[in-house]
Amino acid sequence: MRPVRNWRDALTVVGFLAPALALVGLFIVWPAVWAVIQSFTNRSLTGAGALNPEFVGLENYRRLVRDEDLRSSLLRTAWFVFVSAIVGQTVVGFVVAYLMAERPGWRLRFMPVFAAIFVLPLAVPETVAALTWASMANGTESGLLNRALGTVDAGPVRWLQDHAFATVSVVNVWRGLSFAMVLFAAAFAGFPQQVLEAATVDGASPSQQLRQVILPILRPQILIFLMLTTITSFGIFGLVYFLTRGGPGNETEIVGIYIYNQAFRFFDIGFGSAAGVLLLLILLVPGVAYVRLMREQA
Amino acid sequence: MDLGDQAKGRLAAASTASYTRRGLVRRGVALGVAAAATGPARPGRAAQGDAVELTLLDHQEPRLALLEEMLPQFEEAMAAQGKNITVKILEGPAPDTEFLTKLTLDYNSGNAPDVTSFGATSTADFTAAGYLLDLTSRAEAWPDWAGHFYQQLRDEQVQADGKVYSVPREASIIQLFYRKDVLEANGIPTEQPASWQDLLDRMKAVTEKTGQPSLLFPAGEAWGGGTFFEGFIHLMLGTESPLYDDADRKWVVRSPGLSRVLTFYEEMTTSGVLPVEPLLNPEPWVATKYEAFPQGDLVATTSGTWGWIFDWGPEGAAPIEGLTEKVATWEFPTADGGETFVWGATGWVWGISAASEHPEEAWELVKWLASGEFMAANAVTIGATATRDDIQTIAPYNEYSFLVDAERRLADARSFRAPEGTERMVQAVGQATEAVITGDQTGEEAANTLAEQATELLGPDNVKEMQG
Repeated sequence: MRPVRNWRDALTVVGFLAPALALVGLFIVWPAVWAVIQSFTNRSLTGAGALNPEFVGLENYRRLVRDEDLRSSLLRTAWFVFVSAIVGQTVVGFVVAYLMAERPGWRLRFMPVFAAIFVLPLAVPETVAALTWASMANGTESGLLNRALGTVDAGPVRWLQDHAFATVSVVNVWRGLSFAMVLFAAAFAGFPQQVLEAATVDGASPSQQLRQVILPILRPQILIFLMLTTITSFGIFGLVYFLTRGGPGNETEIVGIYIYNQAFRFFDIGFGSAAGVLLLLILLVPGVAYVRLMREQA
Repeated sequence: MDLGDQAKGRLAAASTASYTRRGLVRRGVALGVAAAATGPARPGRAAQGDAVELTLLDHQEPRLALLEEMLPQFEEAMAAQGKNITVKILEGPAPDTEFLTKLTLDYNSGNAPDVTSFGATSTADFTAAGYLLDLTSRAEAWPDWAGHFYQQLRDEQVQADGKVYSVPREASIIQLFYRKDVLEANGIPTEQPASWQDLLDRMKAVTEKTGQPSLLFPAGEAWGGGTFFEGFIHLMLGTESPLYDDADRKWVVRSPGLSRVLTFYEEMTTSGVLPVEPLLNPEPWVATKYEAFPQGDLVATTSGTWGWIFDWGPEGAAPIEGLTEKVATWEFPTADGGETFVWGATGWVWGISAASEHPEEAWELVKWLASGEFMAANAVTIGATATRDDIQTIAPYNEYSFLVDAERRLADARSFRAPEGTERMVQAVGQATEAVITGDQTGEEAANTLAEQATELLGPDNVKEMQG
């Protein structure tokens, strides 16, 4: 990379960066700043709070601390991220990519099928995906999943009523597994084979190779994916909202839905913004931790 | 004579005037002087003949189809008065909750349509936010307002500042619908229940015989505003306690009545008559009103007149064959066996955005929407009653005798005029009733939670408590 040596270089750099920085500033930084500002007000979308919002200091944050619904929503979200993103997407995605790398013949035979099936979740808009799953998981006998069960005289199962959390977790796994596999498959494709060969010559078992050679070398890719999937799953909204609206009861009210309800169902923008800021702070923790780990790795 | 008639008269007079060259020059000079005196034309004060396009936001297919079909009549009527007004229909999301969210965001961002319709329960909150155009003087100048709209409904449109911001689109009569055939088959009396206990005893008897939950008062958060307006409020009105004190404009967040209502939810839950599990599902009305009631498992449920058409009518969501033989209605009993009652109030209203650039044209549209043939067709389409007394003979409304009969109940019906903060009270009631039906709290505990939650949501200055 060529260093910036004079004002002409600097101007060129700024010129190239400006459009991206403007977009990031306008659509990411400014809304975040605005949310922080609103979190200290009683701004509402209806009522007097819409006409004349007032500064209320830390009152919204005090309410958040006392709110049991928020606490349970955060715990539920953490469990959702662990089950669907960390285990379901990262671990399973890695294992499948590893198996495909280990068995070239198997990979060749199934790769076109995998490519078609696994790219689909990335290509379908989130809302469409959610509504399609809602149709498939219909709790009556006409739902696709129940029809499949019907062929073995089982069911019908009320997926989104009796097993709502498990169902939305599976849908999130389906949504993110493909990206994990693509990422890990690419990592395996670029893996230095001579290192593995040396390990084999040294007598390392496949398990030892995985734990002591492959995982350390692929750590950056794994951490990148973990960071992305943790953050996106923690803040997920549409996929769950259009499947269950957070129900039954509050069983699937993850924090994204909680914030939406406060801001756009109860129109309490100040309180909803405070909850959003809290989520931002929470997500900064894994974000910073992952970035630090990656720096150490580098 | 309304403004339209006056305009028509002027138009007729102009058409008979002689057009000489001198006369035209004189008119031209006069127009020039007038234009110079009034300055540049203001947007929204379109001269006669200037094209004005109004935007009208509504939702749900039957309502939109009706507007598509009938709005050309309005445009023709305006054209006949020399006004070139067209209406562009905007379609909002079908679910009421999401429609309300979209409309609120439109208002807040300054992108609201000229005219729209929303639940009367939102009027106070929209008014306080400054979203709606003050219609007071226009309504007073409209002979139909005082002449034909029901007094009770007109009163409901008056907001805290004494002004009118909405025109009622339809009225709702809500009562208890029950399966007469199932009760008779099980040897249970079908007379009007006199009190909550009387109702509960009969429903317990049904549940013991059928093994199924038998009585539905919407509860919990999944039903949204329905928990409040189709369930909770009909119990609250059966107590002696007010929920809102008009005198000091405060919500009553703790009272003997609130405790009794939540305790009654607890009794319905513990006795097994309330269908708890369906109430916790995302679309609780499906398993209850669309499945259990048509099957005869659920024996009684709150419902509005729309139930006869949309829910269980021949082309409804879940038709019941022989509907009028199998289903009948009770009035709501009261807590201690006092006089029974039905709920009757404004359902949805028409409103004009305060930011509309064409307020006069929008008012013409609202008057047309709240009149004659459109209101008659609209009432039938929605399954609601008319809000004025002069359309009972207009087709197709006159063919639906149960709607016309229900309209007559408006005079003696009970209602609750939703003040500012209603959405937040709805939220608190949803949470409190859910805590009861899930068994997390007793009725008394939920009453305490409701008081705390409502105080936090509404602000301590807007609430008060009443001791027994």
